[in-house]
Amino acid sequence: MTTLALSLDVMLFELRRSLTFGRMAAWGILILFPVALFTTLNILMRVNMGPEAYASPDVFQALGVTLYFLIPEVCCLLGLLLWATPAVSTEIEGQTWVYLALRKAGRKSVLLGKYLTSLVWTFSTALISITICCCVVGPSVSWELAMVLWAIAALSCISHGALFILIGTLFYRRSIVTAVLYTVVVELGISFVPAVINKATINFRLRGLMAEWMGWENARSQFENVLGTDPAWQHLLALLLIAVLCLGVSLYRVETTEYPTQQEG
Amino acid sequence: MIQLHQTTKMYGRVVGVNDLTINLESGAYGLIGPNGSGKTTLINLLIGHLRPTIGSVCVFDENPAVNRGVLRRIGLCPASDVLYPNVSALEFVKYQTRLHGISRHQCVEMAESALELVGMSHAMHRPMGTYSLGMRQRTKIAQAIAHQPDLLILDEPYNGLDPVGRADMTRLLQSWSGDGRGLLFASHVLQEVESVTSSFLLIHGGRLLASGTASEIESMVSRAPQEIRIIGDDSPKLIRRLAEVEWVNSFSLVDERRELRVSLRDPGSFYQQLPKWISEENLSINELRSADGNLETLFDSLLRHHRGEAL
Amino acid sequence: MPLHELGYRTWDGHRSSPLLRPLVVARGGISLVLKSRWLRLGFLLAWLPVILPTIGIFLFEYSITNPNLSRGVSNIFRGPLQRPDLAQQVLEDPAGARHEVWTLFILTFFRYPQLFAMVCLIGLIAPLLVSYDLRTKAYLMYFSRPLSPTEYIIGKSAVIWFLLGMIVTVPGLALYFVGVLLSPDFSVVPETWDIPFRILGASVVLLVPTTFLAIAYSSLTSENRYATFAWFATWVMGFVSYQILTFSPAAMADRAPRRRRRGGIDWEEMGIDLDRWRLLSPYHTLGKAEAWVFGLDPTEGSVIPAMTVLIVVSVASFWLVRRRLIAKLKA
Repeated sequence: MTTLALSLDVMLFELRRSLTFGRMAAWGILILFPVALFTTLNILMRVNMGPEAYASPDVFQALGVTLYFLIPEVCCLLGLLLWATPAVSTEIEGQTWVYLALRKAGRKSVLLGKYLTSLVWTFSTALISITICCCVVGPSVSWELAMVLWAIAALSCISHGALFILIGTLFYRRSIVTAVLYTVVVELGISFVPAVINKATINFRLRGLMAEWMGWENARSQFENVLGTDPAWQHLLALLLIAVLCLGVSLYRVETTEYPTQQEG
Repeated sequence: MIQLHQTTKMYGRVVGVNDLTINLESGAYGLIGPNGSGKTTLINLLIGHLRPTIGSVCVFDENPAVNRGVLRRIGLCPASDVLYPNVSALEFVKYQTRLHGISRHQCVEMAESALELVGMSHAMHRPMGTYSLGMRQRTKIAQAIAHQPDLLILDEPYNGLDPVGRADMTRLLQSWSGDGRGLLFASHVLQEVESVTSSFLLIHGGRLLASGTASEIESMVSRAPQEIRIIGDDSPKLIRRLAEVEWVNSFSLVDERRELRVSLRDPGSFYQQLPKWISEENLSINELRSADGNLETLFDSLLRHHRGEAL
Repeated sequence: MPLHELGYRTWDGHRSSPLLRPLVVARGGISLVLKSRWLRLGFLLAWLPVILPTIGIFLFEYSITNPNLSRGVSNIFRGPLQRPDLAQQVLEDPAGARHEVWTLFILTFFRYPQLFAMVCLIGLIAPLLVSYDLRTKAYLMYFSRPLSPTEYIIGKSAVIWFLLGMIVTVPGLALYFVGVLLSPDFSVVPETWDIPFRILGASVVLLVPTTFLAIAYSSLTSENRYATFAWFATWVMGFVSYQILTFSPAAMADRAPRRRRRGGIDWEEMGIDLDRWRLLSPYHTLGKAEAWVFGLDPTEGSVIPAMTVLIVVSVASFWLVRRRLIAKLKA
């Protein structure tokens, strides 16, 4: 019996029990937000620049950057903030952690299962909203952009999800606030610092991959410090390492930490 | 079954359990102590959720915090409520059983039979948010026994049960211990534990005050100092007799001279002498109140015993 | 068998003034949240940014008596604060620029570090305030006393008002008084006497709508993670919407500057309407209202829509919490 099989069962259990109004509403909002925003932007563009608005490569690139920022960065982060970060804290608050902790494979499988659940919820929002946004713009958007955005969204979910799970296991009392602070300071602040330090951030890697896969050489040469010049395999390796490291530390932490069970006596 | 060697658990500067040394063979045991006495800390040590600050914990010769495989042989019914409101009891118990690594197919069978055993078959498909407190309590018991553990640990299992539910629960636990499987039953109500087992562990302030059978503890308590209340119109007439014996610490007359409160160093001698005095002087005594059944007084007596105040 | 009247009875005992009743709720909440180590650390960190505007005011006042410093000080306004017009005035008529310089420093303090600290602190405290009471049914304990839902809401809000007052209003006022003490003489007081009142006004603008909104989110769920998420999502989504809808069309149409220039960018001159999408973003709406309170509103648009939105958010949030509580009590 592998931990992975158990994690999949945990994921199925979590998915079944999470079909609540609150969660569905949050899921819907995370899809509708980029779609509504992008549709408005699209209308503005067409009004200002006419039907050939996206004919220019520069405009098309700006469109891609906007979509990238809106979905793999903002929406994926918001989704993971809600579904990955409080993985442990909700069980502690709900006084159910003790039930999971006393199972032979409870802690690891539950953490991995909840990680997978957060990926499913978040990636599904990204997938749907990217597809709708591309449909909104119409044939001007190439399949290439859509597929790159899907891939970037998947990578964003995998790496940011692992990071937020780690934050959730380390700071289980204030997990969401800590994750927001981390994101603002590191992923939105440090990732733009033109120095070696930004290479350790997930957003730098995702931006680099976006530029690399879309072939935005002009932008890469102009904003070298922000988009990087590393080849795609290096970005992928870095993201994989970040995800594995974060998950590894989270699993160790969850195995060894004496989380409060909120019982008396 | 359970071995604790000089086990101490600290929460920062607060002592959870203090220097516990216990060696329990397979059987049923009642863990009795007032709220905050360290019962739940001890249970959390036994399931490996907590690691001892000092000393060691072994369950079935394994350290549960290190070798999690041993958890397959332990079932726990925690004191905290189950709070998955939109999950059915069957789903919940199946899920909990599955986390032990038992196959999916077996999990369903085990969950169903455990829920049947606790009388929850009729409602096991309903979401738990619609359950009464008693039904949730039964579901908790079901998840603890579903994987057929060798040791069942229960933390206040009677919470929220009505009289019928209590009787059912008592029968279930009696049958469990009757089958020769291990049972550790934490409660702060002596009578609850007494109905299931006659072996007790008395815990207070994180320390094991006493262990043994009910009669052993009774005899120990009877030797410990106690306060007795003698109520009746003739109770003041006992003062002369009490003043003559050396096993009386003090006495006072209260409630318009109708109640005599006596602090005794040797309750055994008192119980031997009192009927004699009453019959010799033909006294009218309506009531005699002692520490029986009162856990606070029992622990008070045991603490005095530990302080060396007992004879 | 006698029948006993055990139904609801009016409270015959002495009650404190309705204005003081929320204080009981607030006092309990404040003492509880102050026990949190995280929050105490947050308090400490939230006070740190006050050092920068204090140094700014000191340097400005010192530059009046020491003209060698004037050029350096004016660069602060030309560069980081993006006010080249004020930089020029600081060089030409520093005494005349005093009021605007002080308010600009205080507004900047309100607008950037303290607004960020406010969002974080409310995110730490507010989601639990009502949702925890709903989950643990502690609200029944409150309403078994002669306490009205309005008094309860005000009491809970007062917990946040107190904490935010400590990190926004108090340091703002302290900044003003330290500014006076660092000035060459007390002649600055008649020129700047209105600033403390503006600080109080801006505090009300900042505290009331944000608190009621956070409490409303908290009342909508018994799982505080949803309330915390909703709180942060409101700010993030609003901010992102404003930025994208305001600047992206210009960027795509190649009207925006490619690289950041030294000094301020006059967006409106470039045809970008900074007020058009403002109401989508709580951050920018609050910014407009606060700037107006300090008399430094930088954009052409009227402040009335921003103020209306803030009032509507406050009233609607208050009504929502009250309705939720009454519905819970009736259930």
